[in-house]
Amino acid sequence: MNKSTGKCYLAWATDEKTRERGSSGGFVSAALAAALDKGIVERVLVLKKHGVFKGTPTVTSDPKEVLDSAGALHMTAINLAKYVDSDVRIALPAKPCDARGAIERAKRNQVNLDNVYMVGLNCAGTMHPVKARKMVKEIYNLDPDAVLSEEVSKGKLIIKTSEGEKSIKIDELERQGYGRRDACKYCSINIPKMTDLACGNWGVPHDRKATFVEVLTEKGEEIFKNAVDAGYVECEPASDKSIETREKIDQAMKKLAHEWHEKLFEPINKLSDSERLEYYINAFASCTGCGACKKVCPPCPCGEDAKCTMTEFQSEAHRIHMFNMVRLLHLMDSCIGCGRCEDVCPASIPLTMIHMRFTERIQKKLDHIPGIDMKKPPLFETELREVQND
Amino acid sequence: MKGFVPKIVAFCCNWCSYAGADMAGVSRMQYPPNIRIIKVMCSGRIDPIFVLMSFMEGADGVLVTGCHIGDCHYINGNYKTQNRFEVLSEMMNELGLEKERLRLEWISATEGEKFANMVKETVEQVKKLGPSPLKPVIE
Amino acid sequence: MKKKGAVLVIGGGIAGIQASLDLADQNFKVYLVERTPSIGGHMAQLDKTLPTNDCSICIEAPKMIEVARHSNIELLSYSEVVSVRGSVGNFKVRVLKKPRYVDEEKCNGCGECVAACPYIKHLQEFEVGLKLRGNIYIPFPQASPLVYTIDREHCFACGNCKVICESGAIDLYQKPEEIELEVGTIIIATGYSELVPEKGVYGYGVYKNVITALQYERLMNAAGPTGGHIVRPSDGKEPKKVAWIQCVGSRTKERPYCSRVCCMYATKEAIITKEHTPDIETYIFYMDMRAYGKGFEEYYRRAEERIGVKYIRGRPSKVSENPETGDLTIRYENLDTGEVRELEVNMLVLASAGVPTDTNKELAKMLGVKLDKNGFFQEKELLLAPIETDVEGIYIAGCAQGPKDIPDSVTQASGAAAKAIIPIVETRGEEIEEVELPEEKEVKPTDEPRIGVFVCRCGVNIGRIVDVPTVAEYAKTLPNVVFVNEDIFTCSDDCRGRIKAAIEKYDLNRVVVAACTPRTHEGLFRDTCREVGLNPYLFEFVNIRDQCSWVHMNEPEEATEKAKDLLRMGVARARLLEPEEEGELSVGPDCLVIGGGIAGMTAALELANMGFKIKLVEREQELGGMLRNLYKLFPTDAPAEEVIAPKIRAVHEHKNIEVYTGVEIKGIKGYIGNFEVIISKKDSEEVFNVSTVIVATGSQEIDATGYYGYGEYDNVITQLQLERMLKEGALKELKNVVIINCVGAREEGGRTYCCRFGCGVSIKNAKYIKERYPDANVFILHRDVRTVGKRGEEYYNDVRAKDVKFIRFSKDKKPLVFEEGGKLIVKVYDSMLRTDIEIEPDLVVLTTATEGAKGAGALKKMLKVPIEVGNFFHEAHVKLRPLDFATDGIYLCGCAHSPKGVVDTITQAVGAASRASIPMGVGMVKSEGITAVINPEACVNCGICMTMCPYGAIRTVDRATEVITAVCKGCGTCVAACPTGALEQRHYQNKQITSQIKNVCRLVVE
Repeated sequence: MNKSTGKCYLAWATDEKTRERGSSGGFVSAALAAALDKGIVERVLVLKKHGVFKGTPTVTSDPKEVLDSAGALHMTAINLAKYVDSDVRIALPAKPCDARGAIERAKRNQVNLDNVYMVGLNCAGTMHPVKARKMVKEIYNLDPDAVLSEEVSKGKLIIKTSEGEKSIKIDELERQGYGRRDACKYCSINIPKMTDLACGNWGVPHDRKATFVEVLTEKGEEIFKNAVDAGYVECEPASDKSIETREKIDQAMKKLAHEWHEKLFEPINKLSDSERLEYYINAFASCTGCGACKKVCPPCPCGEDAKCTMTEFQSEAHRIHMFNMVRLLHLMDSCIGCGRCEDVCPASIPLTMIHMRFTERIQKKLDHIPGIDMKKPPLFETELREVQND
Repeated sequence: MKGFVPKIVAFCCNWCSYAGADMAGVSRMQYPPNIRIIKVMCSGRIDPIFVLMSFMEGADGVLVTGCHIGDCHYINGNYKTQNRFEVLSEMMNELGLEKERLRLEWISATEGEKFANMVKETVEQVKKLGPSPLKPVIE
Repeated sequence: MKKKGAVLVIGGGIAGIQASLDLADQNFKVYLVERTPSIGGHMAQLDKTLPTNDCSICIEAPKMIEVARHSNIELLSYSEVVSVRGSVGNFKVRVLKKPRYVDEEKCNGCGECVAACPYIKHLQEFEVGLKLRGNIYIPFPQASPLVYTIDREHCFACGNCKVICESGAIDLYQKPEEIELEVGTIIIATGYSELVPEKGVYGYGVYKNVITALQYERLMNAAGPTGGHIVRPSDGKEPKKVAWIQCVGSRTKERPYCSRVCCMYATKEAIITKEHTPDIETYIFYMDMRAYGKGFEEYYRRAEERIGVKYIRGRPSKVSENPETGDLTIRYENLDTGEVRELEVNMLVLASAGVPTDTNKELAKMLGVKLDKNGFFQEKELLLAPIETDVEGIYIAGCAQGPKDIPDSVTQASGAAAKAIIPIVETRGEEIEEVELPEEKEVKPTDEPRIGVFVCRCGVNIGRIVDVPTVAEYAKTLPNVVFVNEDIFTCSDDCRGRIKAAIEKYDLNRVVVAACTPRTHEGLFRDTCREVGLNPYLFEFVNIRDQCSWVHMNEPEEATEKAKDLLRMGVARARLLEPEEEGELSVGPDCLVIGGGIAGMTAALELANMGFKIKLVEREQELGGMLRNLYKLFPTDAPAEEVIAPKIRAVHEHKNIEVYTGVEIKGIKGYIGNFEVIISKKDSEEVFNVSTVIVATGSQEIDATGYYGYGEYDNVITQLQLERMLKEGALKELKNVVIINCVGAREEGGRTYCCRFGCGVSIKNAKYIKERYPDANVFILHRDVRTVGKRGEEYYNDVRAKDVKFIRFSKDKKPLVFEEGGKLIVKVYDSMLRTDIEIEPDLVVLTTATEGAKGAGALKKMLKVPIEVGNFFHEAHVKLRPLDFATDGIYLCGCAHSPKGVVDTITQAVGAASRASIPMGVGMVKSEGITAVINPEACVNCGICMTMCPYGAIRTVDRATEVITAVCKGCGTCVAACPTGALEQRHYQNKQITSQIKNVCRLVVE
């Protein structure tokens, strides 16, 4: 992993329909279909579209279904990592947080990465579908059920209905409290360099309908070469300018993420230790213990039984439920900040931000960022990193 | 009314720190009676959850103790304790609990004095801090 | 006459302890006779052990307790052997039990008597005279047996102790008692003594601040006379400068041998001193720095380079005291610079020689064995039979043979155990008494707990501080407590009888005792429960003495409250205790020995002689290993051929040994009792199963290319090449020979270690060259001469007298080998002459470092055992388990462990055989009922536990994680790491521990 071959291309689907349907030249769908077709993988995990607000993770071996799923869904928020069945060779089109989830799961033996071909997708963030529907209704003044498609282009979210399309700047949406999920706003990992093949439209000239592809591993090379050889995809080497532009956009997104990070974390940063404790006690007070956050959490390997839900640890008298405390503990070295917990929390506890606050301390102290490589998490360590009396 | 009497939970490993606590007794070293020892075979058995739980159950301070690095009866259990403690203490820092309430100490079977001093210091510090803000709500 | 299945072990130091345990663990009866009141020996006196700086008593005390509680060991402490008759298989030994004036059965070690004794003025032996004791005493708090002894010689029989002793243990008129034992074999493990320097030697005995190294150990120790504060005897002030003088009394005319351990313990003492107070200056005066053992050289380097211990090569000539300050002035010649200097220090430590125990002569006479010139026990033949004596059936272990360090003593002790078994192997188990126990009564988790609580007053030890009746009353209020008793001594026979009666009468299914400490008494009460059919794991101990009454003597009320809290916690835990079974795994009698060198062959032969079936695997076409290449051996000059040829023959002839030569091991998997081994021969594979594995893969000379012109000039060769030439008589007339030592060894960053045997080899070969060509000039260029083993120093002295020239070089000024005008030249700085000298040699011999065998890496992966610097294997514990791997059933010996000479290799091989014979001899391994268990329904096979387990006790089979119970040691670290809670540690279950946590502050019943 991460043995970057450093090769960058512009690539696009040869099939016109796929090219049109895909968000940037249909490369990903074409390459996945080609991998399936030529037997590099036996399955592909796709997000089957049900309108713009809903996608269901579906494992398929049908190239047609893969091509049908082309195009990004910005208004759903599913993390695919928990759906990866690596008993067979499978391709996973992965946002950075999907890939990071899969890697953390691999560290816990829930995924066998040898069997997983991760086709990475650049990601600048997604929206929560419930909030997105509300936004369509209230900001765009459109009927959410009438939406035919959506697209993000040049910092704008374009909503299309049969009556036409409307576009509003995402900045503006976010100013009004809509737009991307909080977790995405401050996520600074936008190009999935931890995958086999990183794909996206950053760095693609505006007049081109193509995907910028960076081949990162031998497995990535295999997928890419296969797609080209099988005639599903055409490509050309990416120009220096393309590479530079992509890098620039990434840096800009990172900067924006840092700004959001500061902004969103600031109110708690200002608190004293005891105030912060009070804050956490209050924040968790509304927890109903439903366990939804745990269920969707990609790094959590546990099934129904888990220490966080063990009865011997629980008591009504606790100021913070042990469920929350154990979750905090177990995610100290593995939270990837994907935001799924917060998405599903019926009590609307800002779980992702809370977990990130905790995990970032370990990330800083031990220089351990979960999900970007197979490095052992600190809680798995059996030896000291540095023997002290030496 | 009596002043604040802190309760400190100490986790000790069977081979070194528990024996060190006994050594304090054998040498009649005096320390404050606020400590309640829970014995495990190896400090590696000390699930950080036990520490969290001790606070949630009303401990004003928690001591995690084991053999000195290199002395572990189980080859390297205390290395794991150390790694876990590092994560745990960062968690407690973020939570906003005072640092002084949680301590990791390696104590050998002969270090009765070290054990006694550790208890003394911890009790003093915790007394200054007052009751733990995580004490349970009990009707 | 029928042989006796019992062994007498004389001496209860670490060697005696290890030998006893090895024997008892495989069902031979052991009589361990120790002349002092407690076992433990010198190791118990040491503060730390090197090179790990482990706390010495911390690692020894568990073994001492094991001895005391072992049902197959009869510990005869404070006893002496007075006569021995008979011969192997049937020795009759008379042992004198000296009167302690305290009844061993009755004394419970409470220590009340100590305060009652009005005479506290005798120098305590254990504290090497640095502390006073009374007439009634235990040598040290961890003493085993924990029984007091009265120094009747000084006692006035005032009777105070008798009055205060509530268990009635004092018997001031106790008589000596003589008993007769019948044993099959005998092990001598009488250790050594520290030489008490003569008065005036470097000011010892005259100047107060001159002490011996053993005294210094006690000064450093947290439990020592000063509580671990290093202070001067004269004024109690902390010294700012401390010096050590090495070789005090050894390497002299009178005692020509090297004491072997002093260089390193002085280094350790200096390191620990600097760890206590970093600004103390420490100086060590030495002749040769003998850092020869595993990890020693690195330790020494660390001391000098990183910790700042100053080493001065030179033997001080005079020490004088400033009477005003008590400071000491040391006058010395620095041998590296030739300057005569003075150094003023505040304290001086003498690294005094290890000398034979004073009873050696008497004992040797009794046993009919010989002593060597120095007064240590004489082995039968140093190279061939380093453990045996001239008398069949009598063996030596540890320092009784000559000074050695802890791992070497432990190794030899295991070896002696193996040797002691062989003549009486058929009697295994015959002298062991099986205790008949009633059937266990069934206790189901659903049964309502019925708890009996027994609160002990421990005389006044608990009762004076803790209000025991109040605590007992409180116990009655706790849930499920159906019976409460308070007693003066719960551990007394009477009271244990009451516990048993209560269990039966009240149908108790849990027992809680609140008393002294589980460390000393848990086993006793567990047995008590078991004797009436209650599973011992349904017993819970609450420590209200060592951790309550004794540490809160001025706060009786708070102590009582604390005792109540502790009892509440204990009862809460007891409610949730479950009966646990001890695990058993059968182990067959087959062993795989990997490596057919001297180590592997020796181990195989020992085991085969014990009746086990051996598969001996060697990758070369012939057995013999490294020794096949060698000429004669250090330090006896025995031809290598004579050492290996009989072994090779014996191995081939032995019906229990199957030899495989020219084969490779392709795979090993499994665990103790169940190893599956795949070997590949030329064109086929063979699979077989064994129960245990011994790794004896040896070592090899490093590739010397690039060192001192090796590979460039033809007449630069290695010792191995020289050995072959000597053997084949291929040497040609020589005029000048230069031997360079430490080639590629003791290097920073690379092979940091010392090869241990190189100095001996170089000296030996210098001698042979000199013998063959008396006119030749032979130079040995060395860094330190490390002739540490028995007879090594004497050999060195002989060769020095033969006009072999020894030139020391420092690591910063290494010799140069180059060619000039067609001539080979060696240039070296002679620190004696203080000038560069040039030699025109016709032969340069390099004594190179060694490294672990090539196949070590592959074996490491197959066996899942660790490897360290130099490709040597890493044992379970550097001091006390030198022959074991952490993983059960795999053992280690010879140069695969670290470089060593033939004597040490053979000793290790016999020792490893002993270790491997334990599980095979009893046919099983047992595990305590505290091992981990997995609930497969909750387990998600995340594998975190597997990374945690240091013993390889967790594995996956068909994607399901499982615990190999017999291999699990019950540390519970996997359980703590398990995210799902699927893993549980028996007897330390999550719910059991949390019940204690929940009851710290209040009563919580769930």
